Amino acid sequence: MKRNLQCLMAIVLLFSMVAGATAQTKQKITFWAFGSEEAAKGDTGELWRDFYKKVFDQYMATHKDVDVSFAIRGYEAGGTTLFMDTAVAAGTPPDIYLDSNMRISKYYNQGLAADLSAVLTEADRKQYGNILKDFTAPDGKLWGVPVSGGYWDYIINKTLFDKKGLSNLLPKAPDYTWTTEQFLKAARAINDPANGVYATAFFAKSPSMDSAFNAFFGGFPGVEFYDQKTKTFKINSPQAIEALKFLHSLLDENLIVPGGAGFIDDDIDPYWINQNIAMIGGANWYAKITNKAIKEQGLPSFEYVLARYPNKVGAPPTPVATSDPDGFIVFKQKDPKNMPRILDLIKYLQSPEIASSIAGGWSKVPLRADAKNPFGDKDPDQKSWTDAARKFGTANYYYNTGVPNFNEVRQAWAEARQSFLQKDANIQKIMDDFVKRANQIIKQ
Amino acid sequence: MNKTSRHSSRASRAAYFFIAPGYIAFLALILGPLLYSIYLSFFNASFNLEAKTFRGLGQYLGLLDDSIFLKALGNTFKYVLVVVPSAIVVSLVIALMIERFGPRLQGLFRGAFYLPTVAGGVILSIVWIWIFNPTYGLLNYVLGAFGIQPVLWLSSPSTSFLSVCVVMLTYTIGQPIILFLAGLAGIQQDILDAATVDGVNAWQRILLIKIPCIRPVTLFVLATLTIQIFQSWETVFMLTQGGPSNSSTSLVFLIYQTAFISARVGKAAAMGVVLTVIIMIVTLFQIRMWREER
Repeated sequence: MKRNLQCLMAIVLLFSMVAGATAQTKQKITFWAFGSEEAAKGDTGELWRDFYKKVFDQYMATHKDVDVSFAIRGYEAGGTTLFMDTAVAAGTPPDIYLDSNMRISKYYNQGLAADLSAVLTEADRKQYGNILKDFTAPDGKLWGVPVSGGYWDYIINKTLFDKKGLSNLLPKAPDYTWTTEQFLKAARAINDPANGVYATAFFAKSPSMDSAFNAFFGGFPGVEFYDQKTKTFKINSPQAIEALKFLHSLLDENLIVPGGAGFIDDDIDPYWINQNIAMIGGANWYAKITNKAIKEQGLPSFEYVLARYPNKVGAPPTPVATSDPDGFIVFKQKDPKNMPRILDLIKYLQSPEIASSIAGGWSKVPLRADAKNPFGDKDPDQKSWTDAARKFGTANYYYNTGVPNFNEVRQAWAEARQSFLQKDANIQKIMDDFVKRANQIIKQ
Repeated sequence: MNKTSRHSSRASRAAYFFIAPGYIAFLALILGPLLYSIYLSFFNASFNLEAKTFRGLGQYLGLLDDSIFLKALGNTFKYVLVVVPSAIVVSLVIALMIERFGPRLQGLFRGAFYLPTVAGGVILSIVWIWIFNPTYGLLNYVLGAFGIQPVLWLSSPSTSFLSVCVVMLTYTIGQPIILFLAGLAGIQQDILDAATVDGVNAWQRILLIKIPCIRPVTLFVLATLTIQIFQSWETVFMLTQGGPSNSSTSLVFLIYQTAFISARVGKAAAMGVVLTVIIMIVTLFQIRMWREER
């Protein structure tokens, strides 16, 4: 009996050692994506977690030496990612993280990003084109791999204008361009606070969606937010002040929802879907929530038009806004031997098919030219922006390219906009103070 | 060793065994991080802690040149000076009113006033965001009924600070009410009867007898509320994000912004040390007052 028991224990011990040894040859790779476990992809309605499970199961089926675990972490409004920041501070970040360039560049700026130059071949780099510069270090090394991005512009509730017989004031097809004077005329005509309709809205409580405000600068030639050559901020220039005075006139004439300094973008969503705002920037987001609200909440449907941001009289049409590109970042590994398998996984994830599917999930377009646009011509909104982007050019109104300590600068810009959205604002002083503070931040 | 000393030695070992988890948790979760924060406060550090550089006392001196830090510090003291006395007065008045009711009605009111404390700052702030809404909020609707123009409660530097104070008040009065009620219940009835015989009226009974008798409770409430308000940040985060233009920011909220938005972990640690020292000084002062009282 005793001998039988000893034999059994020996077999169990041997089996455990073999199993353990086998398990140790598998490399564990952790992947986090920005988002929510319960959210669904915008194109197919499939839950993100089911999508990623399929993607990684497919990869692991042909790569038996890798075990990928993934999670989709929630986010906070205001451009922070508390889960990631906590994990990084604790020294336990995931191996791979997928998020917007604005957020992953924070970790690159802190020297935490591994070199991904080996992931892309020359042929791959040609497919990405100029967008790669947003993910490339000054020494030419690639610190991130782009996946998806998009364009967005100005959205107008056409139904509100039709009801009042004011559709003639709206920009016309096919370009949907208009000047600041035409924009003001339409805003004044449609504005009716007594009946719960405001021409437009601004929000500045947090940095979130600040590009919806910034995009107005695109219609004023000569306005420059940050000069990459001199590494100084220029938003207090005479051209910028002229643009800001135009924007402040909307506040002075009560054409915007009151209290913008205390709103984040999410606070404005109910105003838009309940038709209390006639037009607003950030069209990509508002088009998405409009369709969702009408379909899921049974709200009265309305027709919207996608237009360009207004341009100063005599200036060319405003370039279309590029939404902040999303990309992969790999955190530097303690053991360099882990890198080859991680780089191989990145190579798989940035392939045209998967990039196209990730982009479609976010209602964006893949940044590889050879990846299929998940919406093609089926989505008139995407077609509208893509056509306009080709015709009028694009601009990054997040103004983050090449800006050190960008998150801190962005927070300072939110505070400047909060001061700007007061009735008695001294615009020149506010911008001078912001430029002084921002120039100090980037030198730290 | 005799039987008694063996037993007491075993009992001591058992005692250490039982208190060990608490001590380990204290060391690992409180003292350890506190000491590391103090160490980190002397460095320029981001999330990449391996790349930190020593700055020494310059980190603390640099705070004196930081106008936003000084603004947050000033605001934090203002929050304490506004909310703490208001909470004590309001909760004491409510407790004096409830005290007269029978046990059932007292229990009902105690529960009602304690509910916001249970709900917490985050949930209350979400509700108050809509009460304060300039277009559709309840507050402006009521003001409009009296012909008063809408107020931009959370969007204007002149009203954002007080708006945050109001919300803080709603969830800080619950516990003091419970404590004051207990204190008032503990006043000996014969003192009150003797006062009545001496011709003391109701106001005098409150001012000259009840309030002095519950002074230890008041000092305890003062100490705990002060620490709570010094550390407040969730209301600021939810309602105003410290704005507009830092008019409602608090020191703990600035610490959060500095650490997690600006990724300046060393600077945030230095601010945390400053706040800790301030709270310690204020608390020691209050304890000294309490000891003198005893």
